[in-house]
Amino acid sequence: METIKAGVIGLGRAGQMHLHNLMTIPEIDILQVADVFIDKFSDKISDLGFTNQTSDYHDILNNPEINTVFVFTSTDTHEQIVTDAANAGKNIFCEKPLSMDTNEEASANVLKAVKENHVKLQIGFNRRMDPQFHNIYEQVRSGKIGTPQVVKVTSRDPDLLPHDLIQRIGGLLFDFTMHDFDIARYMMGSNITEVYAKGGTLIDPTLKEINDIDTLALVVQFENGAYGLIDNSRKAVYGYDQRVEVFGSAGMLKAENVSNSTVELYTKDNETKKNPLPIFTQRYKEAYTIEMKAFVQSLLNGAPLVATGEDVIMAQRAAIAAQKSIKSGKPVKVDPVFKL
Amino acid sequence: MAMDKINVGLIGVGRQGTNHYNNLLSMPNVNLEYICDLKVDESWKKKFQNIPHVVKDYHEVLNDPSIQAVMVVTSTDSHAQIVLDAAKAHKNIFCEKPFSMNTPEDKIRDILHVVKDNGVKLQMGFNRRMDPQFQEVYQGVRAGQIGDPQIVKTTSRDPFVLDKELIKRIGGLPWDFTIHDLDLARYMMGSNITEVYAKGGTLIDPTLKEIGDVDTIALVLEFENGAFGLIDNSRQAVYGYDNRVEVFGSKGMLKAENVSGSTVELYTKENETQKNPLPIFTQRYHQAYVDEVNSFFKSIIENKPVVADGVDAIMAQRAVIAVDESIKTGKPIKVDPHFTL
Repeated sequence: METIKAGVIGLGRAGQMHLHNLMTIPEIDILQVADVFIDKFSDKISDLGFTNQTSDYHDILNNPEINTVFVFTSTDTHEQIVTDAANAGKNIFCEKPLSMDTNEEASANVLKAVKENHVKLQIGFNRRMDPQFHNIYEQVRSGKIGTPQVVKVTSRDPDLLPHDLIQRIGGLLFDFTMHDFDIARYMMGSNITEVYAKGGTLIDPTLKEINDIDTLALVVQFENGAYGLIDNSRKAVYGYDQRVEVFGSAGMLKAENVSNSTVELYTKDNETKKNPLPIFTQRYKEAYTIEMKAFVQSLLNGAPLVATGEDVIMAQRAAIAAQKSIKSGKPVKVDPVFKL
Repeated sequence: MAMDKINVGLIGVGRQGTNHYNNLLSMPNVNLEYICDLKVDESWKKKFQNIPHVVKDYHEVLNDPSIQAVMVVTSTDSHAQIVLDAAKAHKNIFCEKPFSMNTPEDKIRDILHVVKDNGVKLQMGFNRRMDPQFQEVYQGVRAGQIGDPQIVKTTSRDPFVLDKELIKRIGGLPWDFTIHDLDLARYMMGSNITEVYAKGGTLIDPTLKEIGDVDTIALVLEFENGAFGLIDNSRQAVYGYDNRVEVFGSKGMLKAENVSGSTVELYTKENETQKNPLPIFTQRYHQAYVDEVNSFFKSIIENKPVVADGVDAIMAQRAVIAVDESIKTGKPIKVDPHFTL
């Protein structure tokens, strides 16, 4: 493949953010965009220069000029669109998760379609490409801290999401914790074999009405015998709190929060620093672009994908296990083996 | 009880006892009257010639009516008996943690009754409560600086694996080490632990299995107020003694990073390098060891509550027992948050 002729499916919250990032990558030529509510976004998207618009993503899949699709639709449509795109011979970038279904078969069938059609599928685990976290990853892999023994991830959102948005994108586990599961597994270089999770509504008790939680603390075990700790909150009043730590036999690597300011204020009482960046679009701005550039390199030069279908299955298994664990109050085993 | 100076007997002068001994000597309001240790012989009397009495049998300390307080820093298996005898002898007691690794809880309760009935103070050696860094976090939480606490996290990593003989005497990782984190987590949260789920293994030294110990622990706690806790422990952090605490709440976060002996930063073409955390507990918690004992004497003099009492010891021990059981069974273990004397 010499150039990437792309179609973008889904122009909502995530879609528009990604669209702006995709526009900065010269190797990507966006030919067509789709959204079921295209009328709602039409003017805005036209202003960006994308006039070939449709409400039916099949139009994109039937467009023979297009070789790659970017899927930013709501989670419940991912399986169908990715399967259709694979059958249409398109390479696919899809946001996580593939599915929130506790039955894995549907997700496995999607990956089968991807494999049989010899197309590439990259999953939007953007945090893998965050420069801070990627630096940790590279150093863990190069043995700087010896054998990794404990990985710790803290992820706290700055504020509660509206209930109807949560119902579309999934609760805390599928929308949020899934990233932490993936990062923990990525850092450890080993699959998760057990999850024990405690979750509750310490911030907004009305979340119980939609079966969601706002606070989570969990422990995972990995296939290599190591452990992981993850804590999540929907509301950190001081910003978007994102930290990673990997402890090993020969040392520790950790990434603290990123602030947009290095200014420190010293007064009689305190030294004050600026808060972490306020929200994911800012904190992971580079990561969102780099993951796309990596996908481009994979398509054009055969570089390995940053995050594959198998990676998303592993993260989904962990999220499902966490859900079961919270419900049952028991640790839940996770199968670390995946065969297509 | 109004008094300027306190007459103290130190019972047990091993690893930890020596640490307390040196601190006691530096305290102006303390008359260290007795040194007591099972190993005392003629050479000790020479070594401690500044101390009026150097004795082998702790009953000698308890039988001296001029002694107001005893420090019990003997090996764990003797704590319960000595505390009981000291309470009966009307001595105020400072006792190292844990209270006991194998005494049934109702026996401990009986001892706490004797302590209460005799009107003496019992303070447990949960020194980290008095660490200036962690104390500041605690004060901030209690003052409402971060609103309602929702998540507490403690990281404790020792610098190296201990000698197996020592481990057998002082208890494995949960009893010797994790117990501090469990106490600190509960102290910060201001709520009792209701559940523990712990994973533990020998990722550093597999031969620890021979003595039934682990070197790495990761655990989740639930508190009575609905909040959560995460603790991770390791026996070997090659970069120093790693001790950090974080409390997250509805209005913010308080966290204490490691303390280093140096503020010097080195900048080169490749890196900026800072000094490692302090290397070992005696250095990291030096001030805490002094402050906890000072606070104990102050409680006696001013007749105020101690920083960590017998109930705190029971609560921490229940959690440790749950950690042991959870690691062994692979199941979350409920912890009874209620205790009445």
